[in-house]
Amino acid sequence: MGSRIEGSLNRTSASPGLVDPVVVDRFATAAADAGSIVHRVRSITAVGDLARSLANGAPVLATTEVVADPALASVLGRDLRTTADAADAADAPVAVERGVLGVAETGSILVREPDRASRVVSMLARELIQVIQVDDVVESLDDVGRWLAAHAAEGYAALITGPSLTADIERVLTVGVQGPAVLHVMLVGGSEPS
Amino acid sequence: MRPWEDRFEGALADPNVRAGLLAFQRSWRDVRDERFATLERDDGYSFDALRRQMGDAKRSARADLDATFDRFRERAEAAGTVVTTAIDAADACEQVERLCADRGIDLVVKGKSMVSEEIGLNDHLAAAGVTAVETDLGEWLIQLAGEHPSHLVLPVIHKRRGQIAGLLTAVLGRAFDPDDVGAMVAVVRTELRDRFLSAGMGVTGANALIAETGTTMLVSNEGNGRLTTTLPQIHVILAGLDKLVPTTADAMTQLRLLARSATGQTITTYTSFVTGPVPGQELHLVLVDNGRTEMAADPVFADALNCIRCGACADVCPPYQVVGGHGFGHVYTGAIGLVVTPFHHGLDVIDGPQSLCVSCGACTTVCPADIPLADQILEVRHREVERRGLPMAVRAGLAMLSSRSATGVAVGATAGVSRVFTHDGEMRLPVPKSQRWRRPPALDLSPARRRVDTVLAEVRPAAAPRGERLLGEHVTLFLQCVADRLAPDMALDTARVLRRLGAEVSVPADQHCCGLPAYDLGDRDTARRLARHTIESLEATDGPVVTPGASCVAAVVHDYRILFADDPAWRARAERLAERMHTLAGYLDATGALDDEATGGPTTGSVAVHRFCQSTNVLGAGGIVEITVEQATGSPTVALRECETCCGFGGSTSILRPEVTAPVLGRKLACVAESDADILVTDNPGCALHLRGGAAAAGLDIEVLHLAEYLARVL
Repeated sequence: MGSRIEGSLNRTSASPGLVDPVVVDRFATAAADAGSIVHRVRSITAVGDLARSLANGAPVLATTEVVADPALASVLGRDLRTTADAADAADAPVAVERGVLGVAETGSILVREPDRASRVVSMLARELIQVIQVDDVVESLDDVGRWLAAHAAEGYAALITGPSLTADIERVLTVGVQGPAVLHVMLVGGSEPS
Repeated sequence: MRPWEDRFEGALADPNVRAGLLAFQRSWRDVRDERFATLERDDGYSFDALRRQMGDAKRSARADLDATFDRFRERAEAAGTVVTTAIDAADACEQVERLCADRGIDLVVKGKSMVSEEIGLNDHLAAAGVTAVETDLGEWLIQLAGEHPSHLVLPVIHKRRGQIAGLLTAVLGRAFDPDDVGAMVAVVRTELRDRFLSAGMGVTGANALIAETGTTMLVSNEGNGRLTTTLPQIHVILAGLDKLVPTTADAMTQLRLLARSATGQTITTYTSFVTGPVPGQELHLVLVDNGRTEMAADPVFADALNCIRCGACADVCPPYQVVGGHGFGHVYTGAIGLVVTPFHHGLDVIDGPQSLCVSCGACTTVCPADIPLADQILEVRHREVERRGLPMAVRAGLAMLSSRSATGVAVGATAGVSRVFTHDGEMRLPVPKSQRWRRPPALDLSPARRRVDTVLAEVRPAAAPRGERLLGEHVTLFLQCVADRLAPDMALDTARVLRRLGAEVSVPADQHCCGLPAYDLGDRDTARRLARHTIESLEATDGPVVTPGASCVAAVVHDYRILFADDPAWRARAERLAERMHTLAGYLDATGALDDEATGGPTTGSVAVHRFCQSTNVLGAGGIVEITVEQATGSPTVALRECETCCGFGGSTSILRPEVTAPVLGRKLACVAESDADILVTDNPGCALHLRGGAAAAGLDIEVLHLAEYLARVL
């Protein structure tokens, strides 16, 4: 399987259907093993449905990129906003972010968060929804390395793998520390409905 | 930091440390092994290949450290980062303090940073009126307790949940259920949230500095790292110059190794890649030297800079399990702590901790950064001995050991005197309580070297086919000093076994000690003298050399290379001897002598095997003794839990540090008792005597035999 170097904003995949379904399945399994809730959906409409149900009437927070994305903004509805104010974002019920790459080797999602607001909402909401296109799933960390070589200088990037956790006390696993306690991976496209 | 003696005594007196760390080490080992096995099976990456790559990446960065740093700095600065260097701890602290003063900052939040511990940042800032609050759960609890972290990755692993509940109650004034770990963890979210929101500065460490892109890689699980790097107006990264790696690909190799080695995860929840500041905010990076340049220039210690701070070396260490990081370390804990502390904090403060090392080599086998930790610790010991000398009694002992005849006279005299105290093959001496944990062996008046020729003349080869398996083989027997003088049957039975299989055996009369005891104590001059004598003595013959002393084989094969590192002629002679040198099990395996349909003599009872740590970790012998036993009898051996874990003999360590080695032995004996075996077999005389004495003192109903003694019964 060839590597997918570009996971740029807003484009529909340059080569749809080239991603090996085995790699996509591996990504979904690895993400679930890491504690993420994986939703395999046909279209981004499902993102809006999930976000609104989790928000339960409160505003849906999102990164700058998502707010500026017409397709995502339209499914996420009128109460969508972003904020760079940490007190404002703290413990908001849900935030939505778009992934650049999904990494099958680890079940991680690579995100770019070039401004403060994007980082604030993704760090402080109680539940985080990460949207990743099936065509943007890559096999390994080597692909991440190549992406970073090309794009790291453009701004902050991160690999996020599952919900926040700690095992500092007698190695007993506790999920949900400073970061989101629940991570939803919405895997969009492909033949598997959620 | 409290003096080492206080920390050591405190740790020994706290039963939570030992019990907690035993559970921790066992669960860590299972998960870590499974993760690397899966990685190899599913993705084709072997641990050995990955760690070599990791070592190569760090070495490549150091090959021209200035150039690597310049590349990193150029790209980081292009992204808006302010990059400075700090020559030592004071310099680094002052830079951070100045920045706080310039910006009017009096509250700093901290992500986990061992470098900040190394330089004493929190105390320095406190003295300047700046409050530094740890935000990693473990580090925060440590800060509340007024302690230093006891582990590189899990700062508070030396405390159990009850102690933590008590700590939180004392600090926060409300009750905590000691069994509700979730509730205790939840506290850190509420208690620290407003600190994050009001702090003027966030300080973190760095897991890697990627020169290719000027990017700092930071891993965390909790999310506190991300808050620390984002919310305050200024983010300061403190990083040792050893964190530099050339490329993003190298950083990915590090990611593959780090979480698996540290926590048994595939990867941590958050891996951040920071190149420039958050738009509208500031990013400062302070590259810290504090002894690292000196380390990089030292051929023995340079590879210690490969370290990726995973903590695996502590997780496999038997003495660490007994006393935790406060006893087995300084600021940096575990084996790597023993190695780097001389450069960051001085040789004197690591004297106590390094004396606890039993040189089992387990740390080297699990290090994902290709660092020869066990050898480096012995080098630290050697330098410490050069600095302050050895106690008089030890020097006298080594002087005696240097001479074969002096050893003979001294041992003979002691044996004569000890006859009075010997009953049933054991010495019953009125010993102080601290030494009662193992019964010393009886000293034999007639060492093996005086009896071996008679034994060889009397023993006939066994009936065919076994008696012909080694027909035509001429084997040189190296008796080993411990076996020769303290347990001659182990050496004599080695001769018997070889003869029973049909080999001709010669025993050079002038052989003595391979030098390992002296090397282990830190006296390299004596070690080299004894090594040269051993090489010369064994050069008198050709062909294989077989010894009951597995430790001697490890010494010749591995340690002689270090002893003669600066002497190519002797190194070559040592290598030629190393090629000929075999443990008994190794020789029988190489010749296939027992690999036949025959089964041994009368049923002996069930056998478990203790794998000598150096055979496993230095010689890579694996299950060779089990195979030998099974081939000899046709019966399977019995499983022994933690069969590869050191028994605590550790040469001189069990004599000098019984407070630590007795519990290590206790852990081993508990596993032995659990195995329900009738006989425990091992192929190192020192371990055999140590286990035998310990089993007797503990009242365990098990017979401890050297492999040679066992085979002599069976063949």
